[in-house]
Amino acid sequence: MSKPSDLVQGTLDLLILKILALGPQHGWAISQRLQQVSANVLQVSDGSLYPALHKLEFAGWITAEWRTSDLGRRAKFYSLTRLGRKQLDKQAADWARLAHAISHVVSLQED
Amino acid sequence: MPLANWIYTLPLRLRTIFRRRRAELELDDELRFHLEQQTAQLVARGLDPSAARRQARLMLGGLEQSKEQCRDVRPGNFAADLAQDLAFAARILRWSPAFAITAILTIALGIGAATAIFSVTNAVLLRPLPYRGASRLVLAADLLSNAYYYDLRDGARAAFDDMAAVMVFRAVVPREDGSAERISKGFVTVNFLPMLGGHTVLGRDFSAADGQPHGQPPPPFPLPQGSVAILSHDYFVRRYGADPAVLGRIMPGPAGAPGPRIIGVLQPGFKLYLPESGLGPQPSPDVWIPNNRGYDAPNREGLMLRVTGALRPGVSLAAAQSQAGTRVRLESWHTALTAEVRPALLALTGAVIFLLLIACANVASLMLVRVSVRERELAVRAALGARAGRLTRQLLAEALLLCAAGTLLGLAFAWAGIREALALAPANLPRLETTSIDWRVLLFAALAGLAEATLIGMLPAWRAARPDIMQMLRSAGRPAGLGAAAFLRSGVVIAEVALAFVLLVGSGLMFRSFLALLHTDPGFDPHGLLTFLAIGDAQGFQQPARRMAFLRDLEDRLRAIPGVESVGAALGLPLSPGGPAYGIRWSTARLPADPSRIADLPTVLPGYFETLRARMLEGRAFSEADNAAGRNLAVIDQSLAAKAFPGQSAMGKRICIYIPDPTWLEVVGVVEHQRLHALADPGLDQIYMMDGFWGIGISRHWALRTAGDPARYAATVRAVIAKFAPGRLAVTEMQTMDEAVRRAQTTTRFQLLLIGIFAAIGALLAGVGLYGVLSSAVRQRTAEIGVRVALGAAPANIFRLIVGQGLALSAAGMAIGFAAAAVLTRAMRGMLVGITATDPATFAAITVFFVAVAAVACWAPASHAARLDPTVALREE
Repeated sequence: MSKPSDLVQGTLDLLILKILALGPQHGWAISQRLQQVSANVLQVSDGSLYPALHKLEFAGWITAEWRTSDLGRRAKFYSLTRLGRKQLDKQAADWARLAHAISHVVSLQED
Repeated sequence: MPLANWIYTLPLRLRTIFRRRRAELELDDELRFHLEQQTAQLVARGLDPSAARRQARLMLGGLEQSKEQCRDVRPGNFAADLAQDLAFAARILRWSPAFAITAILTIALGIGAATAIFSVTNAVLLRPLPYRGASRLVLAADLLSNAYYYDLRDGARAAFDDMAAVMVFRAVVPREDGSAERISKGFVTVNFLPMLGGHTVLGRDFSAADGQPHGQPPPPFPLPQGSVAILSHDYFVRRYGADPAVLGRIMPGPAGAPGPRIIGVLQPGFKLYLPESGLGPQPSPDVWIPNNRGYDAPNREGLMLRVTGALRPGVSLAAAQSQAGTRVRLESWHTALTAEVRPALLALTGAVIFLLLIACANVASLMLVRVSVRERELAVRAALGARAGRLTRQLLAEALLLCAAGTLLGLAFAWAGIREALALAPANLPRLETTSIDWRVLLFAALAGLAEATLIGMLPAWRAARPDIMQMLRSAGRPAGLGAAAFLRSGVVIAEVALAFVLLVGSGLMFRSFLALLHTDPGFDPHGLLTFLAIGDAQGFQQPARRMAFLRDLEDRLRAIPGVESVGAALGLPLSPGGPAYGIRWSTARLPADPSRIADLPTVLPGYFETLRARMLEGRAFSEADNAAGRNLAVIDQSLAAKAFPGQSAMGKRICIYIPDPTWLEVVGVVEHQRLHALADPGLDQIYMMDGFWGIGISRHWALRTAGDPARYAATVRAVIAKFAPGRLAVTEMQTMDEAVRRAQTTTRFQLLLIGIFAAIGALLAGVGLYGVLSSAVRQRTAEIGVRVALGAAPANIFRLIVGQGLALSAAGMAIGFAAAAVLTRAMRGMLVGITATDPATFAAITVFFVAVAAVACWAPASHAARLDPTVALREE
């Protein structure tokens, strides 16, 4: 289920940070959003989502607070910190560079 | 992780550690919320609730599993890890008790010695004086008079909050039983005690009125008695049995006259710590009386007061000095008090730190051996994935555990050792009696222990963190010859030898000094002499004729004691300063007056030189006839004669002294120089004068040359004096001259003892360290030695091989130690007697001694190697 090989290493962090950049979310909403945006291309399991969230929290990139959700139930809402914003920019830039390099290699004409 | 993130997430970390239950509940809540939502979504898609719940759990990967994964990403709990490391270290150490006990004892020795010395340094040098605003108190280096004091106080108001003056003098108080008691009186300006923060706990403090002069200004001698008195708490208890009814009582005065009225008792523990002023250690006053002489212009040159000032906050000593002018030199009270003993204490502290480092090196060396033995275990653990950091922490935990045990044991050693050391310590260490293990000492011990743990743990940890795994596993556990570990250990041993060498040189220098002191010629014959100080009030003895008659009478009574061969009296005896020891300028007819020339001016009664058996080198000693008024005669010592009249006879030459008016004296004799103040220090030149010319009062040091043991005469002497002058003369400082000489050796003997002990331990540890390194080298080279023997090497060759390795190590250490000692022993200059800090004989002797120590340390491993059976040795392969 939660094989990280489903996902390019470290990409899950980037995805979470990006989703949270759009606004505070609780874990369930993030999970829904991940499935939605990645459609059927990326297999993100819920099992790897929560450890990733906790890891980012301990790294200081996201922060959490308990709030009442739309449905009237208390839920743990995550939001991006200032440090997290910087990290997102850095990782996004790294990703763009990597993607560009790989697509360049892949598109080389064979003899 | 960057520091900013670490600080930022600190609350989160703390919450996870200290509110673990709460964190667990939140984790549970968060995941359950997810499951509920997932289940609801699945139900909405048409699954039945129980199947939906199951499906939701599957999608999450299991609730508990998920929780465990979340826990795994939490950062490590430092305290928990440390506890785990320490528990493991304790287990490891329990498996090798011999190593653990050796290491702990070695550390305890180092820490114990260092802590004991530091506690003395702390009490004497570091702890602030027990006075208000102690760091801002300054002393005038020179003695001043009332007139100078008032001028100085009024002239430097901008720099000082307040200025006060004190003079400590001895007085005699008659007891009810007819004997007399000597006490110490503090003659102080009325603001002196309040300025230092001293206050009465019974009765009242001095008032301004107590300091007002009444009637005629008193003469400079005898000293003024004052109208009121405050008792020290100690004297209040000792003399008056802490009876509050003592307030208002009149103290007994001199010659039956009424003394001052007691108005108060000072707080317990208030003591006056004044630097020595040439009159020996200054006792803290038993009784305080107010200085009521006023400005006292006629006695402007009667310089007897020590003036102290409290600097205004923010005013530097230099600024205050420029305010005060050039007449007085100001110095910090604390600096002045400790100036004499600071170099010796710092040298001892240095020595003990060296000992601590040697102990540390020895334990580090032991740890390195253990690491090399455990190299395979460590390599396996590293291969199985133990991070280097984790192994490092493990070894550090072991070091920490050893050092914690060693430090605690060391503190116990120090606690016991301080008592022993205090009993042997010389009397010139101010505030030594306040030595105790306080928070500063505990902090020192803790820091020393921690530093030691770091040093001991870091070397092996650094070594273990870089195991050559492939090499280790391939060589099937046989340590890799003279590899990096052996190299490290050699370095440690070289350092150890170097440190021990410096310590040994220091103790060698002290030993030579002590020998020099034992062979110092004091300028007289100390054997068979009983000496004491008989002091009495000068009241009624102002006329020289009355004084002389009294002293002559006493001399006759003393000489009449059966067994007493001769009697001498003086103001101040060799090694018992007490006379007017302030310097006086001298000049000769041939030399212009030179204000830097000063000399001691002992005054003696006829018969003094004969009794002390001081050799007359030229001319004659004083006779009875010389004591007549107007005969200004002097006997000078050989050093002054050599300076003033080089190459000629001093007989009949004239010497000028300023007392303070210039007075010419005729030299009638030259006597051997006597050590007046200290055995170690020749002291000033001496001009001996007749009592009839320059005597004051009736207080005198007496010396009795006796048949047989002089100590036996003490009781008789006391009885004779009590009968001769009931209640007028107090007899103190009763001792044989041999005792005085021994006491004069105390400082050097004490320093020799301490440095000697440190050096002995240091040399022993260095020898053991060398032995350890060679033993393990032989163990590591067993196979190689087997090959050598198989190829025909004789046992003697093998022996030479190992001894050569040991001597090479010690030679390197000794070379470093030699160079370091040549520089460092200069710090000991003030402690040495009769030799220089780079005394070649000492350096040579210590070098020879250390080669012997190294040879002994090499012997056992080398002969073990030489006896190795090649077949057994080769089987080790």
